[in-house]
Amino acid sequence: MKNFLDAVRGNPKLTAGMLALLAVQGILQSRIDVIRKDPNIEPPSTRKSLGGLPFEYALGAVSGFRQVIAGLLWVRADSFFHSGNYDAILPLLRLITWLDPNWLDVYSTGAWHLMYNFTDTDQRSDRRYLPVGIALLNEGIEANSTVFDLYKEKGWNLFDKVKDYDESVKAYQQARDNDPAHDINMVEHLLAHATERSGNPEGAVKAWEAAMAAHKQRMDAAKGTPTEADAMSRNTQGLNNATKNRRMVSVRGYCRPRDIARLGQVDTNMSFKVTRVRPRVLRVEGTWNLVGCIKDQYDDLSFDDQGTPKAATISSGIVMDGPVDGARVDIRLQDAGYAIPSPKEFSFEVPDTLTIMQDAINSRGGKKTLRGSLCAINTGASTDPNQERAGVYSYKDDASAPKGVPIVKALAAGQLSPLGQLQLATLVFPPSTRKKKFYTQADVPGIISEIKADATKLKGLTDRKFYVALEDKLMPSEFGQKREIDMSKDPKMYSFKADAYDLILGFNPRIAPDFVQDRLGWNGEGMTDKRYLRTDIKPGLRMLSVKLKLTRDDIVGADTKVLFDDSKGIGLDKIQK
Amino acid sequence: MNTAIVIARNTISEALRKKVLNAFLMVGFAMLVLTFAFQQFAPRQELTLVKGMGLGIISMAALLITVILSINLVPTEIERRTIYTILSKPVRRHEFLLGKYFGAASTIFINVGLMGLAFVLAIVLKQRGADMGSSFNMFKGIWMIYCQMALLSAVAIFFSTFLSPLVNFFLTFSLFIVGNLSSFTLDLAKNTQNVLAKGFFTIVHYIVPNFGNFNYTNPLVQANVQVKSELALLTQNTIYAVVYATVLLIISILVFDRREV
Repeated sequence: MKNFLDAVRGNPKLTAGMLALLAVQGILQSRIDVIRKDPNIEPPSTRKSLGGLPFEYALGAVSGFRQVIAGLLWVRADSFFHSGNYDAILPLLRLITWLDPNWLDVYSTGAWHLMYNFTDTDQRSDRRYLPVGIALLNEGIEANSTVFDLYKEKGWNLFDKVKDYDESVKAYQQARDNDPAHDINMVEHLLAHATERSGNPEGAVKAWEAAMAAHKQRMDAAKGTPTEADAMSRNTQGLNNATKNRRMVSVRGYCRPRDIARLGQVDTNMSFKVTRVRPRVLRVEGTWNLVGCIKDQYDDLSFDDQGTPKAATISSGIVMDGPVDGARVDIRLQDAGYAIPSPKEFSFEVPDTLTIMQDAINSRGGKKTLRGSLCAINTGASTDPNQERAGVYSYKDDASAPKGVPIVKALAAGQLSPLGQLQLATLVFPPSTRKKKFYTQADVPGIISEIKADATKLKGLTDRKFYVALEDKLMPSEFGQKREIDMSKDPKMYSFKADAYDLILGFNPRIAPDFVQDRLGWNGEGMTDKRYLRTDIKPGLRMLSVKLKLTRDDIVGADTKVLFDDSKGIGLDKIQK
Repeated sequence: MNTAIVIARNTISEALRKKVLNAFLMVGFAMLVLTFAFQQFAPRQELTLVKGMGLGIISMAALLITVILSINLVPTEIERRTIYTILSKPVRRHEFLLGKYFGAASTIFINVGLMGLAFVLAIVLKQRGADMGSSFNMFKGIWMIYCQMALLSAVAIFFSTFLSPLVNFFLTFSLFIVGNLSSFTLDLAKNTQNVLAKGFFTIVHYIVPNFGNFNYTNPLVQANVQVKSELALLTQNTIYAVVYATVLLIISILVFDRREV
């Protein structure tokens, strides 16, 4: 030290130069700090994140090897995924997102994994992980708030998995507003879809128009740049899709209220029964009238490319309606009073005493045959798409079918109603063969004459057992008749530790496919039900919903027992107001 | 100055004789393996992994080369007593020290440069020539790694003027880790209420060589991490490395000038 001080004293100029340079580096450091912090080049080394890491990872992180360690862990997580060891992935997700909070793929893949891949034996998602997945995305959004990717992921998960369209709309709006360079197809198109699903067709039209304007703006901006070809191709396709979708929402916005006014509300007349088949195995079955627009029988030809009616008075959309397959009845069994939490921070620990089961049961088999219209008798389900397009229902035998006469005889006797004639024309000469989307009554007489003169066609109809009904026949759609909800094989997921449970059965028209919404409306305006219609669950939404209060014994009890049957008045006291 | 250059050349030749470039061969091979190692991932993820790991491997290899090379430069000459022969000639002590440093810095430059070339070539091949801009952007990260290592080499040479290689090894590594805590020390200085602690962390932040400045992998690997003034940052980091290395070399010269050898 003495030698050093002597050297310092002996070299005053060099020492002064060194001190001056030391001051310069201090000034440089303060300037570098500003650039590195705005925005953060490295994730902020908060005590929380570093403190949460095991020592060796924290050491790696502070030594400048964050990405390497995060990458290695991600490779490990991937190998766990492929070997089916899903539980092992979750702690790795925690470590990786702490080490490299800017790695978007980890958040999006992690959230997908949490929300979709944890399932029971029958592939039902473990709903306890949904808030956890959303919390992970929220954490990612907080660390990457200026890019659209994770808002978009959140929007999609809320749309597709949670089916909370209002929240999905908010997430997509944030994606659009926080990142001017967002992908229009991924963000604004989905924003429009989510807006429509949230029961807001006017908002959806505006969202599509905004997307169209954004596509045009991107194309203008790309002119003369090296990326012009790519931008043009992508945005042209996007603009075409947005234009088509905007038109269809406009058409439906015009037609749906008019169709409902013209055809009247559908009385869904839902009835159901809940049976404990074995311990932890339930069967939820029932019937209801599920009516929609028959396949391809939707008239949008009277509207221009913007979806505006071409004349002051035009026919509305539905050409033919009737019972349809394709919508689902939602069943949810959960600890009594459970409400989805909104955790502030991602944690992969889910409460192991919590039980949530959610399923969606297909509804099918509804039939409607009116006097003078067509029906068929065959043992199998209808597989002929032309028969489906014509709204002709099949019955499995004579006993279940309406009384009728063979079609040749009915034709000769003039027993076909106008609907029956339309069905026959559609069935024998599908509209596409005449370059039409569907037939109107004006097209029918000529085609019927052709059919009458064609012996081969008539023989074919006779052989396929097509009849003309002499009476009306209505059969409701059924759900859950052959379906057991088995929760006995997954005790970790369905622990049934609580004393009381809510069994919620419902139908939300916002989730229903377009052809069902065409008849029932975006918000259930076209349906009513004397027992289970609820208008107080979400503002503006009319949905079918009923909540039963079950005890633990109701679910885990030994013998077969009917817990609820509204047709026989069993268990009505379990209904919660 | 010519004398320093001669010593620097000798230092490079000696390092090459010691097969330091073998590290480059190994890293080059690792790059080729890396390019095909993550094909099970989606393309974007794969590229993120290849880039992040690639820069990490280069950084790790460069760190080892730098420390092992630099801590031994002066002590080896003293141990072999060759320093007496050198200093008995018209070679001044500071020329000897500068020559050693420039030799080490050049050797590191050759190594990091070759590893970087192999890495960028691997990325170009991986992307089949597409998006050449982002591939060549990797050179920014490689340059930052070099600047970081050049500064670290100055630290190791400074310590080597008065410490044994073993102690130097641990001290250099420790200082590298502490110097990488730059954002952490800055946060601590800002967030603490204690005046003494605030002063301590501020001094640590501004006095200890700030190796964290050169960590530039994130903006190169994650497309969502954007730097507003990239050129200013890279330039200031380069000047920082030069200035701080100069400071360390001046102190080293002052220490070495009066040391008995």
